[in-house]
Amino acid sequence: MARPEVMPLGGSQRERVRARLRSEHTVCRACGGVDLVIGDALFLGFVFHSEPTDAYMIGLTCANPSCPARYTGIRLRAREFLDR
Amino acid sequence: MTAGGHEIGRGPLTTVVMRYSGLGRLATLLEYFAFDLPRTTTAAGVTLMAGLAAAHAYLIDGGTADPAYLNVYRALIVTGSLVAIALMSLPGPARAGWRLGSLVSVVALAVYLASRTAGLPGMPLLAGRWDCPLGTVTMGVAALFLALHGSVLTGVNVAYPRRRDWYD
Amino acid sequence: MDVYGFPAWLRVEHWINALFITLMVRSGIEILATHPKLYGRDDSRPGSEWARFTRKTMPKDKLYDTLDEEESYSPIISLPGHRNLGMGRHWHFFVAIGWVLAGVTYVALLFATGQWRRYIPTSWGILPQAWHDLLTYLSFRLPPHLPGEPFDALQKLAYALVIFVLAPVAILSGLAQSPAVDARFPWFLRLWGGRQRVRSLHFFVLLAFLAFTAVHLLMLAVWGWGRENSLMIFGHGDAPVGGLWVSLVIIAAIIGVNIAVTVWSLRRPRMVQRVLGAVVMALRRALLRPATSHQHYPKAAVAAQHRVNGKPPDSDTYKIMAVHDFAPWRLTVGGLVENPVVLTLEDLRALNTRQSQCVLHHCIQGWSSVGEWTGLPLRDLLDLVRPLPEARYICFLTMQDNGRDEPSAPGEGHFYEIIDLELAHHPQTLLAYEMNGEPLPIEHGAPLRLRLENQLGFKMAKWIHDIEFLSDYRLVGDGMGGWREDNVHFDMEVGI
Repeated sequence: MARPEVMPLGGSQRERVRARLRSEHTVCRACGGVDLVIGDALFLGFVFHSEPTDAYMIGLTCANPSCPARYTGIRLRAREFLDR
Repeated sequence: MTAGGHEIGRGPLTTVVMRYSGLGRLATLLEYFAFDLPRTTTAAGVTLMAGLAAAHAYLIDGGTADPAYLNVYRALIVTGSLVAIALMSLPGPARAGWRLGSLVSVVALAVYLASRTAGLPGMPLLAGRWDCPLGTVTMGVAALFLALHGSVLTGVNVAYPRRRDWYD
Repeated sequence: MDVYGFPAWLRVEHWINALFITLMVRSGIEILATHPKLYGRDDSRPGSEWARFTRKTMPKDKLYDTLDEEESYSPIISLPGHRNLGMGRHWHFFVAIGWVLAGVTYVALLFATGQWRRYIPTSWGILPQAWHDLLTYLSFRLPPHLPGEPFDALQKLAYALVIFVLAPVAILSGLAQSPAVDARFPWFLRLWGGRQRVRSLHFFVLLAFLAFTAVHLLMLAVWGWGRENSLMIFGHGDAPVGGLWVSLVIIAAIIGVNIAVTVWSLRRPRMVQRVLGAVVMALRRALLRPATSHQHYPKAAVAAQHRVNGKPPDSDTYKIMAVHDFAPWRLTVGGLVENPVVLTLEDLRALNTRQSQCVLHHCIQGWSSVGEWTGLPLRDLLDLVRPLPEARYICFLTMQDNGRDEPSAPGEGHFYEIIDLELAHHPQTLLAYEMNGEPLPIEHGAPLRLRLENQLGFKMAKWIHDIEFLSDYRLVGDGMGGWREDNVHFDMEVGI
């Protein structure tokens, strides 16, 4: 059963996230792996009081099966990955 | 000004009266009270107007020696009250109905108080005669209508056809 | 000649009642301040209230919760004022116990001594007489007393209504707001038209007592303050001057008690919580604890928008868990158990029991909502972990850090709540992971929350990540049985 708060990303949105990861040289914080699988997005702006109103968390999963903390994420603003 | 935390529309005259009459503190207190009972409010206003009309209709001469102008006056109050009831019940002119109701109430209250203090032409014996239940009811009904209309003007109540736009 | 007189017990009861009413009204207003909105429907949908007593407005672009909506009223009108729901509830229930005991004693004595005739009319003839009395009052004159009685007909009817109608309605409409009573006897709540209608009725009872008191005082002034108070103080009307002065002293004493308990509550809330709580909680435990929930609301009653009390954990760890549908989340169950376990959300879902219940949620603030909750009955978790014989309490630790997450709640630290192990065996005590047929929403406690249908909402910890079985709850936090008990002085046992 899908969680309604979580929004699947389209192809172009994933590309923009991927480009962002590349430009920031983002690696897995637990194992240093560079192969991060882009997952869904969670809108943070409404539910979490410290977040800007257009903030999202994008789920990232480290592809390294021996990574001690495979689940991570990157916080982006709407304009940084959503289609205009 | 707000009512229940939400901005309400207010005419320039009311704003001036509220600002300079020293009622500012009372107005702040009133902001803590807000009701969304438009039909109940209008029903209460209609009932009070009907009471005012009934009390005056009851007194329209059936053979007593009251001066003719007094019966004309009572008929005017009855007519004014009934017109106010009709207007208050319609979505378009409801606001005019409330204003007419307040005008009728002020007149009824003023004439009653004048009759019991200064006396009326041709009716000097009324002065000082406070022991008339119907008169007390008239005073009470008129005062309650004015208070109810005041609550609508200050945003404590809303009257038909208005509604609150509360989202929270 | 008044054949009934004013016996000593009646006079004592009158003045005790006067004190109790002032405390009940003020503490009642404190409770109202915590959710200063009144509704006609049980879903308490935002914006649907028929009355609000607040100047606050809530944001549209951010989640707000009912803690944000709380008002802080002056101690002049509320006990103790300054947004102290915990204290207000302690006083309301403590005084209610005294008020009910005094009332029962009073009514028993009325009937035992034949004094009931002073209030209850025995002839329909009282109605035309009361009408005549009303016309007399409207003529600004005083009607005659009924022959051989202390009141006129209108007064007699008014007192009868207050004693035999208003007071019972006050008690019953208060009881009808108890989650334990409503969970055990849903028909009783339906009798009143629902949770929010009975709350509104309870408010009208408050207004009626205020109106009665105002008219009562006016009548005393009109009939002769000194003589009337002489009757109620000395039992005869021959000392009006004494009646005047002693009545003023008594009124000053009533005000003094109100000031004293207000100051005590504001300065030493923990002491008030312990002292009053000992009495109130013992009674609750005896009367309300045995009530098990038998609620089966129709799905059509489910609220479109269920209000929220408490904000979700505002940490990256939680947000990352949420975006991965809580795959990284683990539930640790330990403490005094034979078989401590660590479970994933999938493990919980895979356990063979899955229970759904459509129930009415009672918030301590007064709002309510119907929701359908699905999850694991807590007793089944008990079967899995097998508590040791010395385990008596269950502590639910959550991911919510109030200092960080909830600006509207005073206090720091992670939210936790402790319940008596006995409650875990109730059939509708549930660890819920779904709400209204969907995964439990973040604002309602995802991934796991407690449902405890015969208690108030704050006990139903949300965002749970750890469950510990304990022998004594006093070792945790400030030792009061939960974060709210520690920080805002709520009671641990909240069947009402």
